[in-house]
Amino acid sequence: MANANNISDLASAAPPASIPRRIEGRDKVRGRARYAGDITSQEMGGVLDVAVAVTSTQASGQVLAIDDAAALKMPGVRLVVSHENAPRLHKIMSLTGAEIGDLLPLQDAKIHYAGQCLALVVADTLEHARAAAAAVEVRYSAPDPQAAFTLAEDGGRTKDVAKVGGGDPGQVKIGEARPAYEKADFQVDMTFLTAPHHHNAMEPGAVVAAWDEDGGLTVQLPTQFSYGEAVILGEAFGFGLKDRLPRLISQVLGGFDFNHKVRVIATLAGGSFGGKTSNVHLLLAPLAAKLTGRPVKLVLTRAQTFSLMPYRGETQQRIRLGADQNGQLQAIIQDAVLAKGTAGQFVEPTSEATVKAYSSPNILVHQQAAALDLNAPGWMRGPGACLGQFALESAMDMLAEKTGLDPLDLRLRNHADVEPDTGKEWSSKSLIQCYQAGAARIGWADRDPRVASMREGGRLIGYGMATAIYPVKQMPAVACVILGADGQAVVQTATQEIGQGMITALTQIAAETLGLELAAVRLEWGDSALPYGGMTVGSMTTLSAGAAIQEAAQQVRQTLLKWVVQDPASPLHGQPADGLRVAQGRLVAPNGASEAVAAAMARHPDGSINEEAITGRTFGHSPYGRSAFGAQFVKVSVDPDTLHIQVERLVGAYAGGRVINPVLVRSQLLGAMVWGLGQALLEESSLDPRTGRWMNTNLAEALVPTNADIANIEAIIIDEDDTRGHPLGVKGLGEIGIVGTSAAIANAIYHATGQRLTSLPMRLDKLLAARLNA
Amino acid sequence: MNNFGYLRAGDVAEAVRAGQAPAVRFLAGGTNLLDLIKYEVEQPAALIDINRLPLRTIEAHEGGLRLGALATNAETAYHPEIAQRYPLLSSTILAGASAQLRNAATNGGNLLQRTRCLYFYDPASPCNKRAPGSGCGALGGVNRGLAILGASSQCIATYPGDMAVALAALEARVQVSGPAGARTIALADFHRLPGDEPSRDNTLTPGELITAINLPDEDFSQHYTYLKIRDRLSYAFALVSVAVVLRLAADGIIAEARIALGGVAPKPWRVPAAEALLVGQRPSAEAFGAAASRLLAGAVGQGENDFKIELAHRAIVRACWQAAAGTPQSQTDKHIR
Amino acid sequence: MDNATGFSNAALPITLTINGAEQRLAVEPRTTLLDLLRETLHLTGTKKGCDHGQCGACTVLVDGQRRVSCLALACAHDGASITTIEGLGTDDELHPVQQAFLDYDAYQCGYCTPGQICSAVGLLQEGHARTRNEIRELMSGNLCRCGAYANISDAILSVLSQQETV
Repeated sequence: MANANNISDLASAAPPASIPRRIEGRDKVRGRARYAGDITSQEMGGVLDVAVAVTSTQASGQVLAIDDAAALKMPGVRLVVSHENAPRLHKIMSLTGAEIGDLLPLQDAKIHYAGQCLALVVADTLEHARAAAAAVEVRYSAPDPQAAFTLAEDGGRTKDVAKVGGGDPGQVKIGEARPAYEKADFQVDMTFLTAPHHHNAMEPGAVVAAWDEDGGLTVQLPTQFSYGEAVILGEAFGFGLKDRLPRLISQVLGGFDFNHKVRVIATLAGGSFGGKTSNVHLLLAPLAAKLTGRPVKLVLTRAQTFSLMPYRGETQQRIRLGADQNGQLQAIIQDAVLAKGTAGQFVEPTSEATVKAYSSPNILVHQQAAALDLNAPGWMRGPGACLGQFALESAMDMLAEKTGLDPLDLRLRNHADVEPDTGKEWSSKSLIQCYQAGAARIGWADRDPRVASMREGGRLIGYGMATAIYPVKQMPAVACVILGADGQAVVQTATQEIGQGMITALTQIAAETLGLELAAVRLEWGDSALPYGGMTVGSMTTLSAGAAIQEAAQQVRQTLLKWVVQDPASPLHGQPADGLRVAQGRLVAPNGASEAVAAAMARHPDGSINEEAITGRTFGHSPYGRSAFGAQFVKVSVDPDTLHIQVERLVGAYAGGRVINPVLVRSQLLGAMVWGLGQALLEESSLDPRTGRWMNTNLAEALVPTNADIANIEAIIIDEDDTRGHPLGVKGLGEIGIVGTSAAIANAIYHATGQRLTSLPMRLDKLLAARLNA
Repeated sequence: MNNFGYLRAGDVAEAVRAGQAPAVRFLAGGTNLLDLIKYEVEQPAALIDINRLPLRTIEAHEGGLRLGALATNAETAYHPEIAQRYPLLSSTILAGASAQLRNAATNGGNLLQRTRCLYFYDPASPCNKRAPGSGCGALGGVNRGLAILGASSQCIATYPGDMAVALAALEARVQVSGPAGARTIALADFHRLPGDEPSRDNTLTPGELITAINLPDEDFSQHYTYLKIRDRLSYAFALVSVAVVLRLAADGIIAEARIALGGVAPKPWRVPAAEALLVGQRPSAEAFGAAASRLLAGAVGQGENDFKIELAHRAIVRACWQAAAGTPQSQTDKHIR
Repeated sequence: MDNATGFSNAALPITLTINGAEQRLAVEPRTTLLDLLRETLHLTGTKKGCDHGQCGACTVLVDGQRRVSCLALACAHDGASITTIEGLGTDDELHPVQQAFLDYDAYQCGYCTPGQICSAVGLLQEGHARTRNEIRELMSGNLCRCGAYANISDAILSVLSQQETV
């Protein structure tokens, strides 16, 4: 058997070399890519102290005393920072939502959650700081017996929410869903639970802070929003107005900029997935550095990332679906209860996809949040949508069975031809093609649709599918493009590279628009000293920064063309400017005359052409409904006795507008599907319900998928060009791969076993319990 | 972590002598010890580095094999004679940890691997194993991975390793040297139940050093399996694991059976009476089910881990079938056979 | 400085050959190979993901074998030869595994990548992986949160099959 397998074990062919690979790729495979935690004293002028955090072991009460006497006597120790000696910070008024907006660190003795940072030990080396941190003794008052950590014990903390996520409505009412549900021919009513889980990017939280002699502050850290971090720092440390003002206002709306005293450098993030923006440690390292007057590096331990960084909070959703005789949805009702922290305003937007997924005359969303005595949950890949779709798409599978329709047929019958919650026409929608491509690839029509009917090699086999949808968003962004005398271009925008390949895709956009070779374009990114590049969130970077780059590059090109046809020294002199093409670094006229861009620019009187563009001032408001779509198909096998679940195949077909770089997009889609598999089967951060402490704070017990867990996985990219929705025709594909995966796996487990699992992660003990109770 | 002293032992006698000092630990592969030191669960005054001791060979011994205590898990698993004569051991070792860890972890150290109980690992939590008398945080807490057998009111920790489960089924003997001289300990007697002294995982006395593990001269290379059930498909501790070896007579009747369980108890769990139920039987669901029930007699769940009782029963029956059929579980092909 | 039990916890002189260059160093007993590489020698290509042997980001080759450097004391490896990601390949000629990672886009954020590559080099030297499933299993000690596993397996398989045909 092993030998027979060898044939299929040939490596897939590498993608064509003509598709650009990551521009930072050589650095990454040679170990030269630099992350914040890699910064050494050499790079900081020979001085870089190391801080280690001391965290609370209880979730409530007060710090009575911090005994640092022993620690201060230990070798190399410079300082212990706590609420007793930390500089006072100013309240952060803007860009909040994260915990850092409500809870400034080391300001008082109150404990809000277990694992809160209570002190920082600063020493000359990591080993010294670590040893001294272990020697700091904290005395606590008694914990609050009323503290609550789970939705099951919320004790009156649950309240309706007006807004969820980034401002989506917490309550949605279209038509009259309750009466429609009551009189529907077919009804599904099921409650779904999802466990908290952490991002666990491979790079833990890390930050380096240095104050300069003029009182300026430079902070290096991985983040998805360098400008946002700069504003937070400006506010917290009481800088002048211009550092407190969101520069997106000054730059995007005012169109001007001025020198700032806060600079945030975010070159590369070692994974982020929503988790590395506005973390508390952003303020911790500058606090310590302010006191010591020396640069400070703080890297969290893996365990500390569980309480000092966000996570996806616990959720509970009741879904009711009502359908008529034909399977046409008449009512979608979602009642969600979502965990939030007592600090931090973030509420998981579970409704985001629910209200856009299917055509239904009546939709009712009722979302509530319970403030728990935990560190605050936050954004995580596929926010809201992947949880909402887990519930909705599981419920759709149940409805399919009730109506006797094939799950795919049911979805086709309820296809939303217009955006359901707004009635807007879609800018483009290729969901049906996604269904068809995915179904064909996995062999959907060839399966035996009867529940618990399929077997292979003694194992139960199940197929499942789900719809994926992730709304398209665009934010304001600014880009500057400079075409130099050498014909090389520099592109500037303060966007972030978090592993999604953004710097490569943006360089491609600039090169393509300018008509230059990729190697002739250099992107500068990841620095708040650059023009405002927006947030790297919600699959919107290509749309936002990409649009700004495209526009600035178009302006540069126009300027170049207009000038060159008027330049008597050019062979293109006198040609119509709008007739010229620029490609591979050459300007070409319809009559065949041509000149290299570099040759032309060498004569340019200014030595360069500089253009700046601002796009998305309307925050992407569009006359169209805009969304990426996908269809997720899964084959699972389940051992009939041990109920061991294995995902045999994951096939996702996605339509997300124009694809700038198919290699990078495929990687991103596959990665998101791996996330979906982890969320479906593995990921759970375990709380001790008595103490509110995260207990499995390590990567041996907080499981994420390994290579062995990922069998056959395929992403099919459906051709789509969304120029109606966006000047680049792109939609964003960072999240869509996770959205439908857990539901498709749940549906496949049901098909294999007849057991409906309604709680994530779907580990075999839950399947065993369901089977024993059946 | 706090600093500690370091001594590189030149020979076994020196190691044993040094090992008698209070709060010292022997350092071999370090894959568990350094992990524990970093969490401040272990706070040794000094480490006695035994890595240069001549205890790394795998050699013939009384018809069986002697595995040097310092032979790594990888060297052992891939050793041709072990792969051929004791494939259960190879398979079991390869079901554990990762390739990197198996390259470092030693056979002796593996026996001394400490529990993965989350409360043991957390110095801020009560734990009678780590801090005697402080209580057991796992009772009523997060205990999905913990023991259903052999626990006490003071401790419900499990022995988390894989290799010792196979060694229990193979009836290996642990060779040790100590201040009082050398002795061998049957694997079954090596780990101990917590009772009211959960801080002691095993029956070693202070200063005793594992020098070798002896595999007896027996052939279980036909009817064996190591079935490990875990949440993810690799690099995870067992929820339940089962090592089975069977000797079948020419007529297919079971002449000898040994079944050891991992992940369910403070030690590899064997019940001779359960194995005896199989002797003289033909492989059958009834026979295997009866043995499983006998093995699990007295099993008690702690809430989150209740499922392990049923899961273990199913896994035992399946593992017995795999062994009887001569279709051992492959650690590469993740399908349970 | 002797501690209470009479064992010295003073820095120890050791010799390591790192990426081919012999280095004489003084290390405290508690210093891990990972911290020595990163903090003292500034070889920051080797990453710290968990510091507990649970992620594989710190994988290096110790005397040719892949190991997690976070769970290795530097002093215990006196005399050893260490190869880190910085010691594999050159700008002119990448190691075949590095080249395959580029070709197959077998990484995203890049943080686990040095460990993945060192681990893959170790795997190829071990010679126990013949099939895709075996690669998957034997690379499972290297977590990749970006989920590049399919491409990682393809990249390694491509090198493996090149070696076969040579």
